[in-house]
Parts: sequence; C-alpha cells; structure tokens
Amino acid sequence: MRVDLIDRAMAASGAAVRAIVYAMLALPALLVIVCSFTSGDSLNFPPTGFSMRWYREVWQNELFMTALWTSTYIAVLVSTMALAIGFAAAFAINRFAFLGKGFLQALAFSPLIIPAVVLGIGLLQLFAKLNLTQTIYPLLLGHLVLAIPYVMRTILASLSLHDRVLEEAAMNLRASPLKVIRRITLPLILPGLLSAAIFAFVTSFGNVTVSAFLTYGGHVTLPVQIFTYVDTSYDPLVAAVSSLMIVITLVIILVIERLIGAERVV
Amino acid sequence: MEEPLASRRVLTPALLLAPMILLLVLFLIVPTFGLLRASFLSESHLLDGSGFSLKQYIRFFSDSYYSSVLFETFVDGIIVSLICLGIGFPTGYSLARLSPPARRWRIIIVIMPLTLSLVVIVFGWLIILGRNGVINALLLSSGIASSPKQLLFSRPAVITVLVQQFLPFMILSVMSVVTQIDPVLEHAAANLRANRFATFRKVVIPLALPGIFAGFNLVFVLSISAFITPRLIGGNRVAMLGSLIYERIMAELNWPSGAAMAFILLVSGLGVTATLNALAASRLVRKGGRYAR
Amino acid sequence: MLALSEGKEDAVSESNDFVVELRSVSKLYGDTAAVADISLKARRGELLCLLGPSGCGKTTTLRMVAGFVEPSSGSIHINNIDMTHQAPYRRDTGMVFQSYALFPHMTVAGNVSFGLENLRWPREKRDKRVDEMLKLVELAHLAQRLPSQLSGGQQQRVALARALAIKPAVLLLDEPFSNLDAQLRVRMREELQEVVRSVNVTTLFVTHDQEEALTMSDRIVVMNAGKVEQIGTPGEIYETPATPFVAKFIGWCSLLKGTVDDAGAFTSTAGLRIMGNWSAGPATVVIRPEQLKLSAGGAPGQGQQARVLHSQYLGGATRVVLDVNGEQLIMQERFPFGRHPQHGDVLGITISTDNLRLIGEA
Ligand SMILES: Nc1ncnc2c1ncn2[C@@H]1O[C@H](COP(=O)(O)OP(=O)(O)OP(=O)(O)O)[C@@H](O)[C@H]1O
Ligand SMILES: [Mg+2]
Repeated sequence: MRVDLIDRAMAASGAAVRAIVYAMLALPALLVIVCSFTSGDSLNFPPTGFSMRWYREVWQNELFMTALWTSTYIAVLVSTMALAIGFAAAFAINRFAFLGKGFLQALAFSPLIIPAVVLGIGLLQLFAKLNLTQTIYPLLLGHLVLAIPYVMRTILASLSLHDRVLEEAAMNLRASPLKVIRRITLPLILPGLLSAAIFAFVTSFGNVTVSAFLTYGGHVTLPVQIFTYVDTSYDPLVAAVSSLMIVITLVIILVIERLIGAERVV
Repeated sequence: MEEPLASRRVLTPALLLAPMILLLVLFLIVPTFGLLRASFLSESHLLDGSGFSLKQYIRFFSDSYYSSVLFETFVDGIIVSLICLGIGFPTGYSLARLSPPARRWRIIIVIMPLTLSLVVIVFGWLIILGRNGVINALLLSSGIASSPKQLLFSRPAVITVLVQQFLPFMILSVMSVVTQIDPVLEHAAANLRANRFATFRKVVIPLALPGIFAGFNLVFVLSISAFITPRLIGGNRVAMLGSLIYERIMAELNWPSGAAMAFILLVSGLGVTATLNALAASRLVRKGGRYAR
Repeated sequence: MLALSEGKEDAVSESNDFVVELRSVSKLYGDTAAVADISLKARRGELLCLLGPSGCGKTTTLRMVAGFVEPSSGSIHINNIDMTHQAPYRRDTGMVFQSYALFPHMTVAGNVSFGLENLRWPREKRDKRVDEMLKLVELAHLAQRLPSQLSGGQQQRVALARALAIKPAVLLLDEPFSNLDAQLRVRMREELQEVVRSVNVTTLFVTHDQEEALTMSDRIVVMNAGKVEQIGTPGEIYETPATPFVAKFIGWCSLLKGTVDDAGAFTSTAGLRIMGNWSAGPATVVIRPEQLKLSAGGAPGQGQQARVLHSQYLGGATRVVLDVNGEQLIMQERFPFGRHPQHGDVLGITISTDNLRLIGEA
C-alpha cells in the first residue's frame, strides 16, 4: 500500500525497536544457559568445550542444594497459605456487600507500591525485636505479604468472570450453599486458583530484594545464595544453578499459559 | 434462597477477610511504621531506643554526598523510565494488535524476566558485560578493540540492566490499555485523512495515557529502589540510594540512618506517584476543555 | 413503491459519470474467497446498497473501497483514479462505522473537526464547517458533549456529520442502523436519506435488511457467497429477480421447480400446472404471497384446491402456508374475524399470473 514517508519511517523504526526489545529480554537468560555447559574453569564467552561438569558440581555443592531445598519448601508453604488467605478474602470481596471495600482492595495491593527495601528492613527490625530472626518466619511471612497482591488479583479476576447464573441453577436444583461452592464454584474457578498458587510460588521462589534482608540463621534461599556468591566472585557454578532456576521458571510460565492463557498472566 | 441471619452476613465476610487483614497489618503496616519510628532516633547503631530527633534527616540533607546520590538516583530513575517508555510503547502496542497465536511466544519472552529471579538476570548481564563477556569477545574478534574494555561498573551499564529488568512492566501496561482501544478508532482516523503518525499523536497516545502513566510510575519506583543491580553491576563506582541503604543496614548496622533513607525513598516514590496521578487527572480535564470552543 | 423507485432511477440513469468503480475485485483469506470477482459501478449522487446474507462479503467489499483491506486481485477506482493500493487516508471516502467509532476523548465538535484538521483547513473555515454539519444533523446544541453523553441515535448522527464534513467523493456506511432499536431505525433511515440527498453525495450502503435496502436505495447490489447475484433498482430486484436466490432473499415467496411445455404452460415437479405462454424448457417460478388470492371468498370447490398446513396471525393479515397439488405455497390474506384458517382446512385459491416471474434454468 502506498503510504506517507513518515509512516514508512515509523513502521521501520518500530520493527527495529521490537527486534531489539525481544532480543534484549531473552538474551541474558539464554546466555546463562549457554555458558553453564562450559567445560572450562571460568566464565568465558564463547564457552570452552561442552560438559555437564558444573551441573555435577551444583549437585555436590551443599550450600546451593540446601538453598534450593529451602527456597522450594518456603515457596510451597507460601503458595498454599497465600491461596487459602487470598481465596477467603477475594470471595468475601466478590460476594458480600460491605463498607470500605475499596480501602481493602487498596490494602491488598499495597505490597506492590512499597519499595522492597522498606519492607525488608521493616520486617528485619520487627523480627529482631521479637527475637525471631533465626527462624524461618521472617522469610515465610515476608514472601506471604509479597504474594498477596498477585493471588488476590488472579482470584478476583476469575471470580468476576465466573457466571453466577450457574450457581443459581444449582441452587434451583436443590443444592445447599456449601455444595454449590464445592461442586460448582470451585471446579469452575480451579484454573484461576491454580495459577494464583503458582504465582505465589514464583514470587516466593525468585524473590531476592526482600529475602536479602531476612536470611539470618541457616535459612538462605537460592536467589540470596546466588547474590552473596556473585557479590564476591562468579564462576560457571552460578551459571549452572541459574540455568536450573531458568528452566523451573520457564516450565511454570508454560503451565500458567496452558491454564489461563498468556494474555491474563500479568 | 433463605436469607441468613443479619449477624451472619456481617460475620462471614469479616471472618473471611480477617487472615488477610491481620497478615498485612502485622507484617506490612506495623514494620513500616516501626521503621518510621526508628528513623527518628538520634543514636546510630541502635535498633531500639527512645527519644525523637530529626538528626538522621538533617544529616542526610546537609551532606552534599547524600543529596547528590539522591539526585542521581532520581535522574537514573527518570532515564530508565523514559527509555522503557520509548522502546516499550511500540512493543506493547504491537503486542496488543497482534493475533493471539502470534502474541503467544512474544508474551512468554516478555513475562520471563518478570518471573525469573532478579539475580539470575543480573548474572546474565555479568556474562554479557564482563571482562571475558560476550561484548568484549565480539569487540576483540572483530578487531574493534585490542584489549578487553571495562564495561561493568559504569552508570550506562546499570541503566541498561535496569531497563531490561523493568521493561516488561511498561510493555504490559501499555499492552493492556491499548487492548481496550477499539482498532476501529484507528480506521476511523485514517478514513478522516490522518496518517499513522497523526493517528498515533491524536488518537492512540491520548487514549493510552493512563497506561503510559501507570507504566512510567511503576518503572520509576522500582528503579529508584533498586539495590541488587547497582551493587552487582555498578559496584562501588555507581551509588544509588537503594544500595546505600543496603550497605547502611547490612554492613554498618546503622539502623536509624538506613531507616531514614528508606523513608526518603518511600516518600519520593509516593510523591512521584501522586504527581503523575494529578498530572493524568488534570490532563484529562484539559483534554475535555481543549475541544470546547 | 415501484413507481417511486423507477422515478428515482430516471434522475440518475442518464449520467454515466461513475464515482466508484470495482473491476473484478477479489479478496482471499487463505484459500477461502470472502469476495470473489465483484464488478460494480456507482453513479454520481446515487445511493447504492450492498445487500446479502451474513458473511457474504459486504463488509469486506466496503472496507476494500475505504482501503482497510487490500484486494487480492482486481482494481478499485474512485473518480476514475486507480486507488487499489492507496493508503486509506489518501482516498476520497467518508465512512460511517457500524459501531460509529467516535473518538471518546474528543467532543462532538472535536470529532467533526478532526478530518478537517488533517486536511489542514484554517481554523475559521473549520469552525464554520463543523457548525454547518452539526446544524445539518440537528445537533448544534450538543457540540460540546462527549460521545459517551449521547444517545445511540445522536452518536449515529455525529458519525454521519463527521464523515460528511470532509466532503468525501463517496460516503460509505456499514450497517449503520444495526445498533438502534426498531423504531429509531426507521426514523434514522429517513433522516439519513434526507441528509444524503441534501448534500447529494454518492453513497455505498451495506445492509442485510431487505426492507432497508428496498426503501432507501436507488439501486441494490444483491450479494451471495462473495459474488454479485443481481444489480438493479428495488423494483427490478423485487419484480424480476434474476436468480432463485434473489427471489428468496427479497421478500417472502414460494419457488417452484419444474418445466415449461410446448404449449407454454408450467408444470411443477409435484404436478401443479400454471397456464402461461413462456418458452419451453426447465424453469423456476417465483410466486409472491400477494399473487395468491382466495377465489370467491375462499370456499372450497372454487379455483385451485389448497389445504392449510399452518397459519400465522400477523395482526393486519394472516400468513398461510398451503399445500396445492403437492407444492407448498405461501399466501398472505386478511381473513374476517373468527374465520381464521386452521390446519387441515381446505380453501379455494387462484394464482394470479400477471407479473408472475419465471426464472429459466441456465
Ligand atoms: N480478516 C479475516 N480473516 C479471515 N476471514 C475473514 C476475515 N474477514 C472476513 N472474513 C470472512 O470473509 C467472509 C465475508 O465477511 P464479511 O465481513 O465481508 O461479511 P458480511 O457480508 O459483512 O457479513 P455480516 O452481514 O455478518 O456483517 C466471511 O465468511 C468471513 O468469515
Ligand atoms: Mg458486515
């Protein structure tokens, strides 16, 4: 189609910008994976040789393996708890009429606008006063707070998309209120609930900005372990650990994509 | 349906909401106020104490080093947000206008950096920018440079990495607002003799402004509170407020000072949010008036 | 209605001044043709209607004229200039969209002036034109409202004013009334006709509503499955449909397949005979409801014997589906109160052969 010069310039620069953007977004993760297969002793580009050597080393590295375990089990705890707390709250907001709903929603989303440093230091101070820094509670509760907005948003969205007429139909067929929730509501919003839980999982699993302040006593998460390790030195060991995190994250994204479609992920 | 007792209608939602309210009050609001309290302590190296003084704030604003760090943090935040806007808008717009199958893998690429741990991304950039990294390998093999260049530990490097980290927020918020703009409006503009450029300037961008402001706001607040990236990519050469706070608390254990800085950060972020909101609101009002002849 | 449309026809038929011309235009989406080899011409000042069932390619055709869809083959000419590959904003068209597509962030006046701004009209001229257009559609008092503060009919009129403000060579309308309720639709139809006539702009109008097409157009283009079935005045289309599809699509009718014998009489496959003097061969007869009459009050024994299959009370009349010699025919008749025909009743009818349309098989 014959178009104005300025339009052609816009189209060309737009295409160029998009190419750069996608490359820029994908490149760091890709390169980490590429470099993790090096057989050399240091992180070079291009990597020297190909081996699984550094993956074996990760497997034998107690520091990283413990951290991986800690991260996983905190993330699992966080996602189950966030799901329970978030579903109860979202259900109340969606189904009941009461004053201050807007305020409550603002409260639920406020962890997003409070800088991570503020939350991290605040929690550290609180738990130091309570003398609980050596426990798992600071990490657990900190992550739980961070997960709430994501969980609330996903569940609220699926509740509001859910067709209430189906519940009325079930009630008309003599189902009790509890049975309606169990047999109709929950199964229908199950994809939303699952992705909420997964969101909570990745939020906790990947977090470093709040965790960095809360890892006293033996409880160090994998991202914080990577952070402290890289702070002093970096070698292919970190590339292998990071690749593991990338693969786990990618699998999770694909699962969410299957569950609710990529459009609604964020 | 039989109406439950009135008390039940109040009690049930209250019980359902209680866990979330309790969680956020105890572990978000209480610690934030605890921090605010600590920032008014005069002694350093103290977690707990009594008394009230503005000493930490006065010291911060009277020391030219701190004010220059604050200023540079702000400038970096604005630069990062502007770059994100400049390259995120075309990307978010095109994502919104793509067909679902074409959108799929692109969205996955955009979401990946958001879900992936920040340290992993920063580590990826260390591989790109490091002495033995990708860029230096390219420079050396192509003969542009004869010895490896120091790319890390510079402000441009920090800004680049921050842009990559936070770009997805801008892309997604532009995408979500452009999805709401009926493409037929663009056709209508073209039919009324507006070329693509005029259509963007007069129709798409004005209608996308809420998303642009939201994205800008988010990226700005995240950038000024960053501390992992300035620390790992910028090293000692690039001071940003976030890394200063981390240092103050974790290395020097100087609580009141760190708390005061964290509060200055929080208030700056909220201030920018409020300003942008006011700007957006006034712009909408002015828009209405502009066509009033 | 027939007389009226023929009168209209006279007014424009002399001019061979074509504003829009489509030459063998096709549009393929993958393997399927949304539009297959369409040719048509719109005369200056003419209101040409594209009529056809859903999915037949009307919108696609209109969007190709506006330039939002590029044809796969063929060419499109506006004022005798080839516009096939020209950008939408370089074509002399004004479009009223189905959803109106009013800019939500601009006032009514802002919307109408938008095109003029792009044409770089000076401020005073622009303001004058906006004023003039809003007066034309009787919305001058709402100039400062935002589109969201208008009713559906008002939005529609803003869309029309906006499209006409830039004085396009051709006005394009895609089912402009589909978002309005039945009563408003009829009123807006008249208003649109009035406005379009007063500015004398060539108009391409898309609809799937045959009543809309019959009452508004100078000529109708009947489309089916991406192809043109017939082009003609409303009278021609109704009275002399070129194909069974056209007959069936425009108005109620019964189609009888059969053959014409050497004597010129038609015999349907089921055996219903209709006298006439047509030329011999296989043929299809189109029988409109109004061509069936009750003979002598409808008493059985007179004329053709017809058994009532079912009947539908319409208020002013009753639509009856009849079995006549094994053929199903539709009749519309006013029955006296209390004499409503029932299933199984036998009526005597006559088939009027005046204007009876016979479509020869190709
Ligand atoms: N972008 C497209 N991609 C694929 N097929 C399309 C596209 N646009 C239209 N079609 C197909 O082309 C055919 C014609 O569509 P068009 O919209 O022109 O029909 P229409 O006559 O306007 O129908 P309606 O009365 O329902 O509006 C349809 O079968 C439609 O499915
Ligand atoms: Mg259509």
